[in-house]
Amino acid sequence: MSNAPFPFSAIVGQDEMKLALLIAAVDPSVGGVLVLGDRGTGKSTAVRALAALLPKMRVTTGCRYGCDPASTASNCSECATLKASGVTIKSHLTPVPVVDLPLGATEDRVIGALDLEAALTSGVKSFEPGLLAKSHRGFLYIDEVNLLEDHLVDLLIDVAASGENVVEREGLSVRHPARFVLVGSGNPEEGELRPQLLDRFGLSVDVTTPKTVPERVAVIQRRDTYERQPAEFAAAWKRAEDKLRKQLSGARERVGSLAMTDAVLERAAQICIALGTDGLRGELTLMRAGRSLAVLEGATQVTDLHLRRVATMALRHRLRRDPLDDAGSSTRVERVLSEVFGDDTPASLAVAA
Amino acid sequence: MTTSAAAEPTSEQLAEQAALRWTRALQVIELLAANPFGLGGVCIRARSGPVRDEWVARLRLALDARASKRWHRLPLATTDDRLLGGLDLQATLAAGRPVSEQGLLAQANGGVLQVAMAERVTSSVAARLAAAMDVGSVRTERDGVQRLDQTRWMLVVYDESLDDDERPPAALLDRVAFMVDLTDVSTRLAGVSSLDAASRASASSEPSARSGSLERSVVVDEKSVTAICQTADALGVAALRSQQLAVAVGCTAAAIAQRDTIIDADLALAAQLVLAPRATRVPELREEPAEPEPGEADEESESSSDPTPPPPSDEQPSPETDGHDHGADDRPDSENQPDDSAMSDRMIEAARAALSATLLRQLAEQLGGSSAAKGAQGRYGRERMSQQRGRPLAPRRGDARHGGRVHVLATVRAAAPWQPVRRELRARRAVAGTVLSPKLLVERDDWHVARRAFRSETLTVFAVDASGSAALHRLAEAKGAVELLLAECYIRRDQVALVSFRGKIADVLLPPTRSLVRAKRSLTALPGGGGTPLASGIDQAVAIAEAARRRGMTTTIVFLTDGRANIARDGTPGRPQAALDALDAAKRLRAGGYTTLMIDTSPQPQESAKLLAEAMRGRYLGLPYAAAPVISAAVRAERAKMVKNP
Repeated sequence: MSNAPFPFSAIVGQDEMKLALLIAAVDPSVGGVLVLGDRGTGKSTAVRALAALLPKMRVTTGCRYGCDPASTASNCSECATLKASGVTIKSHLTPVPVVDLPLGATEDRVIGALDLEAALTSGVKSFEPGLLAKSHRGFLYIDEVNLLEDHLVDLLIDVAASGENVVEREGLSVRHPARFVLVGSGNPEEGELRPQLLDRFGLSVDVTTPKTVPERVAVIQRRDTYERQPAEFAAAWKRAEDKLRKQLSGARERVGSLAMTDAVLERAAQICIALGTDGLRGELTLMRAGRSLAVLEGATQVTDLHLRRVATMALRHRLRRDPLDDAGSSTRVERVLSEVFGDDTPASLAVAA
Repeated sequence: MTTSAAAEPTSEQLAEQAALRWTRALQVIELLAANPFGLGGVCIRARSGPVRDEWVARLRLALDARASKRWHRLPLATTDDRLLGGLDLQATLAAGRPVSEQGLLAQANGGVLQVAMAERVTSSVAARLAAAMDVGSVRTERDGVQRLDQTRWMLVVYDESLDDDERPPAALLDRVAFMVDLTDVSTRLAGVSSLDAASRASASSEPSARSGSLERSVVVDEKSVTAICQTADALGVAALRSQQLAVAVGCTAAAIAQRDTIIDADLALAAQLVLAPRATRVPELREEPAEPEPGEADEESESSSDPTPPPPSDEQPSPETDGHDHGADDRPDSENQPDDSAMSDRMIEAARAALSATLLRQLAEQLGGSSAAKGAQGRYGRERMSQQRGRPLAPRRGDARHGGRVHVLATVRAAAPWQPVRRELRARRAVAGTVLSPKLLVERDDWHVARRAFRSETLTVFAVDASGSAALHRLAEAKGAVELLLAECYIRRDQVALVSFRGKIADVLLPPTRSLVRAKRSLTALPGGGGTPLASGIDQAVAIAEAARRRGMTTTIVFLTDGRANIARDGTPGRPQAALDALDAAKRLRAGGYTTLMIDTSPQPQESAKLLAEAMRGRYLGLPYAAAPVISAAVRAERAKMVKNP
């Protein structure tokens, strides 16, 4: 199974999850996706598939942290000094990293630590970057995020918030940029997520096992074909994948230039106030997610409809939570939305091409 | 409604069912031997004993006939460094450079991985196994080492659980095709003694020459997949993986028979072996002319004879349809495909035959009892892992003389940068020669000890009186009060457990958990009525509290009852005896020294409840009308006291 990943476009249903992942890929500042749901619903499959869709990125050759040669502000110390010295910087294209944080990973591998090899063989005290460095400008994927050890969760929260990894251990003092999109998945039956971590995810989606028999049949058949004839399967889905890839890279280019009208900003604020979400993070995420959706669909302007379609995923995990109200925050968000928008048509979640 | 099915089967029927189970277990062996990796593996539910050994020996023989020979065992207390691999310390110290080693998960590649006493496996270990199975490789990011090992194995899960409260982690059950139940299979039946080594060898030699990739050539047509999915739907099996595995089993069965298409018999086998053991509801047959054929299928239904259903109408309680969140509404699609549905009906019939009497009874009870899906899924004890997850702190400089554990890696790390300097120093000092030169020079200052911080966890056990008298008066209010308390437990991340007593016995509605949603659900579903077996209620609560204490948790017990016991410990009615028993139980509770709160739910304060509270040395509190917040405040106060002087 370690050959080409399952094509993203071949995933049956799960529109909300796919949309959330695409939005996070268009604009990393949306701030990560949390996917919670039943076992065997293609959570990991979707994240791994997303990696294949992302356009390549340009990195400074020789930089251990994968710095962006075009950026000036957010470079590691090495790149910063290099740039200041006025040397022409060489760069090359690499795939956007999608780094797995495996269960059982230890702290030193996550944040980086003393390079044992160098230390033992040549007595040199040097820093060996960890998974956070590797995932800079890419994705950090944690399967079973609710089973993650508490102390790792703390670390991640801190770095995800600051975009910078500061290591002060074993006589080392290193700081390097680590801006990544945190993607977590898990099964809520196995333990709940700490509220602090919950809030760090920009979007949150719930996935459930497909309910209708035809959908299930489709899932099983596609999976079967993929496992038996991976090459043929990939070929059959190549066009759909290419189209999506183009859509995605186009959106990534344009997302910065799309302005938000005051009316839309006001609407976003209105929704958040009506829901009573804490802080501004909800509003920001809502706006950014709406913008990403708009560019994904090639719209020239963000409209109410865009906001409405992303509101549930952007806000459902930020409600001041009544732990006993298992009727679900989705319902609450939906209710407020129809009040604010004065309608009652639930929005479609599929991405229009 | 379920009385007919619930009657105790006679011993003959039990024997018959056991024989059937054994036959199926042998079919499983054949299928696993043909496709060991593609089917994930098997979960064997049986106590350790000759029958299980026999079955495993047969599986071993069948597999030995093919190449997969290596059997690995995953001990319960496996730590991450052995499970996933990491830094090989010995080799590292000897070589003077980091050497990594494979973990058990990687070493098992190409073999069989046995998980013993799987019901005790923590969900974090299960998650590691599951992750490796899903991607076919193990990724290790530990102790400064990274490795990626391809690995593929067949999982054999030994489930020795006694009841449904402790099941192996669902993440594992989800990934193995078969669930074999060897309960009550006698040694005679299994032929433990009759089959000597020689005959085994000859028996196993014939099916050996099958090609492993045969099942690849079997065509999986849409019709078969649809039939499987419909059957799963009817049985209430939601997990897609199980359906996928059922299809794979169908393929394998076809491959064994040297066919390249799946026929009905293969599908029926798959339904029996894969789907039926996971059923969460009793399938309904659409009432069509086709009578279920007489035969294996319906011989198990009548009042005492068989586990299979009587005509759908009387066995099938109606709550079932709305009790599950999926199902009823997506049933109609069978109508437009008459052909397929006929096929899936046959499969459902086959699967039904595979449901055991006890399972049917359990299902019926569940369906009748509550609206919440109480399937086996997710009921294993999450509580077990939590206290072991003491948060490791950064290792600190110091030596291990005061009972600490040396943190070798940190020690090596501390020593590493100084090696060249020390070597030089040593060389200078040792002009005389004769110095052994170890690869790594560790000095006293380098020693680091591991530290762990354990947060002592708290558990609140709610024992709710749901008897007729309580139900009459204030059950709803008591529920409201518990809900408020639950909300508080959530804020503190406490664990909660729920015990209810009504009728003749006390039930553990919810073993200690953090999932508030589950607590709320089981509370809402709690029906009222019946006698007040107060003594068993107290006993049950104490049992939970004791178990929690053994795991290092501090426990508070909250009773919500009117204190009027009328069912004695042994289940017989009678007030005087019941009251005595309750007092006795209360004294035992007091001996345990738990913080206790007795909330009187009767309209007027009851002397009996006060007496009980005294006997428990607990606090007594009358439940004032519509004042749930007061209770919640009281519990808070009690706990605060307890924290101050534990």
